[in-house]
Amino acid sequence: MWVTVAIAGSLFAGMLAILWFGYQQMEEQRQEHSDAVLTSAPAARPGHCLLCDAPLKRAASTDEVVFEIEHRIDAELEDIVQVLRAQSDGFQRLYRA
Amino acid sequence: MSTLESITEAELFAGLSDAERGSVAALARERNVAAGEVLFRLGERADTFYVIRRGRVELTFPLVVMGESKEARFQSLEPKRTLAWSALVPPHRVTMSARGTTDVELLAFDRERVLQLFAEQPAIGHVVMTNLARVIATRLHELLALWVREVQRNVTQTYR
Repeated sequence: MWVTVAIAGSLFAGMLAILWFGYQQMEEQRQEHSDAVLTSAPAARPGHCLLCDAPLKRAASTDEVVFEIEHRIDAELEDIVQVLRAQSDGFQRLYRA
Repeated sequence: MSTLESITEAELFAGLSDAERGSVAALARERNVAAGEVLFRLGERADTFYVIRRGRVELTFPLVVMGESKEARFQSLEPKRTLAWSALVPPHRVTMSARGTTDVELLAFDRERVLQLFAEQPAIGHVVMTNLARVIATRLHELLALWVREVQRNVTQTYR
C-alpha cells in the first residue's frame, strides 16, 4: 500500500512540475512576442493616436479658434440676455449652462 | 437724426426732462469711427464716454491662441447703447477694447464737463448715474452668467 501511495504521489508531483514548466514556457513566449511588437511599433507622437497616428486634436487656425469662441459667446449671451429680459422662468436659469 | 433726438433715445439719458436733455445735448460732440477702426483699447485711460447714434460697435478682449494674440469679440452694441462707461467710474480705465463693426456715428461726452453739469444740476446727475448703474449691472449679470456657465461646463467635463 505504501508503495502505491509513493507511486501516486510521484506521479502527482511530476504532473505539477510539467504544468509549472509548461506555464513558464508559455509566459516566456508571450513576453518575447510582446517585446517584438513594442520594438517594431512606431513611436507615438504627442497629440496623435498611439495606435493609428491620427491627430487627436483638430487642426485649426487661430482665426478659426477665435471664430468658434465668438460664436459660443454669442450663443450664450443671446440666451442670457433673453433670460434677463424675460425673467419669467426664474433667475436661476441665468446660471444654467 | 438730431443730437437731441439721439439723446432722447439713449439708454443713459432715459427719464430726463426736455430741458435736462437740452443741457446734456449742449455737451455732446460728434465722433465718427470707420468700420474696423479701434475706438479704444483695454486698460486705456477713459476720459470720454460715448452713445452710439448709428452703426454697431464690438467690444473685444485679447485672447492668446496657440501663442498668437488675437482680439475676440465679446459683444456687439447697437445704437442707443453706452460705450466707455469707465469714464464716469474710477479708476477710469476701460475694461474692454472697442472697434467699429460698421461705420459708426457716436456722441462723445467729456467727463469733466459732464461732472460739472451734474454739480450744477444734481437731478440730471441722479438720473444719469442711476441709468449708468443699470447699464453696468446688466453687463455684470451677463459676464457673471457667462463665467458661471463656463465653470459649470469645465467641472462637468473634468469630473464626470
